[in-house]
Amino acid sequence: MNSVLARIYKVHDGLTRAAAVLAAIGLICIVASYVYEVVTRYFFNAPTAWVSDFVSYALCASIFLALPKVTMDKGHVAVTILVEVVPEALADAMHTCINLIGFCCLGFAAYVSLQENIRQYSKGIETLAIVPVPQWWISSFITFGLALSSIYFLRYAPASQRVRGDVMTERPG
Amino acid sequence: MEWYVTLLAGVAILFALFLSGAPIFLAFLFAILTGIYFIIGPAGYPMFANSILDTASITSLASIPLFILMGELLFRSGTMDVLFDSIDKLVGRVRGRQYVLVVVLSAVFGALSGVAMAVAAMLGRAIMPGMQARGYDRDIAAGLIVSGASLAPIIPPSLLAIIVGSIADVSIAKLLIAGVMPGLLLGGIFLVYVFVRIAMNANLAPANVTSERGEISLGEQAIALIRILPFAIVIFSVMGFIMLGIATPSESAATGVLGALITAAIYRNLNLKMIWESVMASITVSAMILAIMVMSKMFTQLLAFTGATSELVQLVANLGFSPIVMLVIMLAVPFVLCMFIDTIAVILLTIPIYQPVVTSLGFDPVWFWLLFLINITLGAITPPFGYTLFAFKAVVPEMTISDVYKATWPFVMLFLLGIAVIIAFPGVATWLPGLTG
Amino acid sequence: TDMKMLTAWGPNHSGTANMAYGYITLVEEMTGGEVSIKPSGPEVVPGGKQLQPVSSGVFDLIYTHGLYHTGTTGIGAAIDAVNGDIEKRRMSGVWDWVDKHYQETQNLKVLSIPTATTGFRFFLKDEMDPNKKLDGMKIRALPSYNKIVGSLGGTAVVIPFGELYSAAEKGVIDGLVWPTVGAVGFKFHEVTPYLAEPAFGTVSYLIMMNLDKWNALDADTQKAMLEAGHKLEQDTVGVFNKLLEEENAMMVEGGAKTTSIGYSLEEANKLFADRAMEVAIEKSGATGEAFRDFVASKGM
Ligand code: NA
Ligand code: NA
Repeated sequence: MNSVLARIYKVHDGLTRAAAVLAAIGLICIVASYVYEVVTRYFFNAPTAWVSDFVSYALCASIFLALPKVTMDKGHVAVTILVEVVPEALADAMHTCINLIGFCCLGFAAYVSLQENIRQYSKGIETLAIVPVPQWWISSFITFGLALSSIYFLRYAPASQRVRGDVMTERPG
Repeated sequence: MEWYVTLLAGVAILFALFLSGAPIFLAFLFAILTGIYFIIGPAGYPMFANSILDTASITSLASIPLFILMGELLFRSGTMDVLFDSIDKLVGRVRGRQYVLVVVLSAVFGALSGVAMAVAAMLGRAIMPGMQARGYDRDIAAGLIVSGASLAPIIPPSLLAIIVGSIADVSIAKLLIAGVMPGLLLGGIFLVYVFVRIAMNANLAPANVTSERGEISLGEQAIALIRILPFAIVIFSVMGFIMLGIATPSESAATGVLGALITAAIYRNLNLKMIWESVMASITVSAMILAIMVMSKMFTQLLAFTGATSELVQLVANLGFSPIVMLVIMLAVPFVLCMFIDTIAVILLTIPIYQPVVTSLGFDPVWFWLLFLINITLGAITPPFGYTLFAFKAVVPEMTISDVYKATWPFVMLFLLGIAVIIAFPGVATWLPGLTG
Repeated sequence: TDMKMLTAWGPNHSGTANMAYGYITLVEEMTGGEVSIKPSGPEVVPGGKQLQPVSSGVFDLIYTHGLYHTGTTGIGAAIDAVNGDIEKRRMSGVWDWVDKHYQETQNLKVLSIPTATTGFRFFLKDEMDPNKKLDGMKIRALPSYNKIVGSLGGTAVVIPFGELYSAAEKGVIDGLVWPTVGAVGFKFHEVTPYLAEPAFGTVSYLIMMNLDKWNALDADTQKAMLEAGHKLEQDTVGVFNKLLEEENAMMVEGGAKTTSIGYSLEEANKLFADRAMEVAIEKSGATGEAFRDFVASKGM
């Protein structure tokens, strides 16, 4: 493989792993903030205004930070009934076709999402919440997750990248 | 375009994409992007971006990663092994005893959570490995977990029951309590089925512990009992906090995680590496599940935009057959719709149109809407498309989706049997709420 | 002409049933069937994300409340702070001010601001002692009425809508604040059966149209749609007072009782209005201040 490409791949994988770590931290923060809310509300009669909103922001960010890792691990759920019975050559062709479609669809979705991020930023749109924040703070994670995932679909398009036999033997994560 | 052309085309395209082996979320995405272009035009794309944001930031969905995390922690800390071993020692003579454990756990966690997906993923993670290691039949275990998890929206607390109650204008309190007996009935049917299967084929359950290792002493049994007591902390940190009014159902998923950590500490299996691996696995599995959910939501919105779904429901509501035929058709529609589109959307689209029909047919509202609730839950475990199925598949990589389908079908039939019983004997659903006046 | 309307709530919501569908009927009557409007609810576009597709013209009309788009502009929510007399709102120029604001910033033409003078009320788990007010109580409240909760000695708690019923049932909260009309549908009286009298504040909804679509209409149609909007505002006051009686009766039949938490209506109205205006200023800055000053200058 071309060394420039190899370096790009390395950066891509590195970003993906780092994003997954952030996603995991996001989940820890969700647990911690919920527990904090329960304790302060019940035992100190001092509920917070921010926990509910924070959880929703952290959830959205964590999902889309972790999405590239799922795509990298080829961990998405798929119905493989047909692929299991067709000839190998056809299965390979379908694999390439699906991955190219995946690249285009996710790439386009990321583009749409980016346009929306820009609109939200330029119009100063905030989230509908008790503790509002600029909407693009949250929605740009969607763009990030879709974009990084789309590149994996392109990288996995060659037939040699098809997972043979069972769909998924390794647990993700 | 006629509404049925749109509906059939949409569903056919999605079906073809599923079968092509494309990731489920990608199949939806493709259908959405092309659908928006042809149905709304490019001006509809920002709606799509906003729909993703809206679905992905629904606070109550946080219970999905939290429940999965609970399951990961219980499994990785060996808490489940302790539970399995203790059950072996306590009821070693009952062949297939761990199946009973699965049904009981799914009823308990179903009662704790209102989200079937969360329970399916949690139990799939916590129970499946132990069951297989002990020689239990994989398909029966999988079917039990998936169908047991589907009791979550039926046994209170249940967000779906609250939504159905407020839109259908029936007492939420009655609808919630009406779910208790049908939930237990279904759990009972599952158990009877399992023991009939074992009676017919002894290989489906490992032999008795007693015959393997000789008689287990009373002392050993007492120790086994003491060993499972810390598990009660997990149950209490979820259920107790809800019942005592300390935490909301979503928050209790987080306190449950805390409970699982405390339990792991008691078993001296708590370490940072285990916690980190659990968190990592939970968030990636959740991303996989929620990616499907986010996309199917927009597909649902698109179908709703064309008016196709409400036309279908309208058509059914106006058929004017005899009450029993109407009942079956009216239940069949949400059941079929739930194979392809989001449960809550089915509720929003169907109930307003059904409500006057239910009144004019003279159905008991609590009874009808409870049946409706059971049906849409069933839709989520009926192959080929169902959130609960995918959530389970996501945590059990060693099974293909076809394996999961195969495991689930018998339980779908059992669900239908349960529904038939509730139709034949409405008292199963209406007796308890009747007591509350 | 066929038009598409987005409604923030489904058809079972009394606001949608009476205001949105009421408007649709009025427009059909007044245009002699020339204009027909097809409504879709939150199953097509979630309630909080409906402004954008109407601004961009995917849909023609919207029925909503300002609180559903405070992320975009706070003016809609601030209408609740204005005197509820709909004719005075029109004569004083407040109605036109709001219309101009939405035209200039959101590409939307305001057609009607139907207002329920039935306002909001407290739903409580237990009977209250008017002397103690809400001392030590945990009340689920949105920003627009958290000030009232605080001034009565209560603590405002944030609970997402989906968890509200079970939170009230199990006693995570001691009560909640909800629009007086429409609450019966959410069955809050089953878990918080004590309804505090009197209700306070007003709830002002918005019916708006995409400005480009509006400009493309002929003058007669425009006139008819605006007249339908005015008629709807006039009808709404009476319709909601009647709904209030009906829904109160239904809740009482379902076990609800009235209670008092010892506030004066004037005080509650003022706290509510002040807070609604503060929200507008927090969200819309100088525009919000300009709206507040304009409303004040008109004595509204
Ligand atoms: Na439940
Ligand atoms: Na299904």
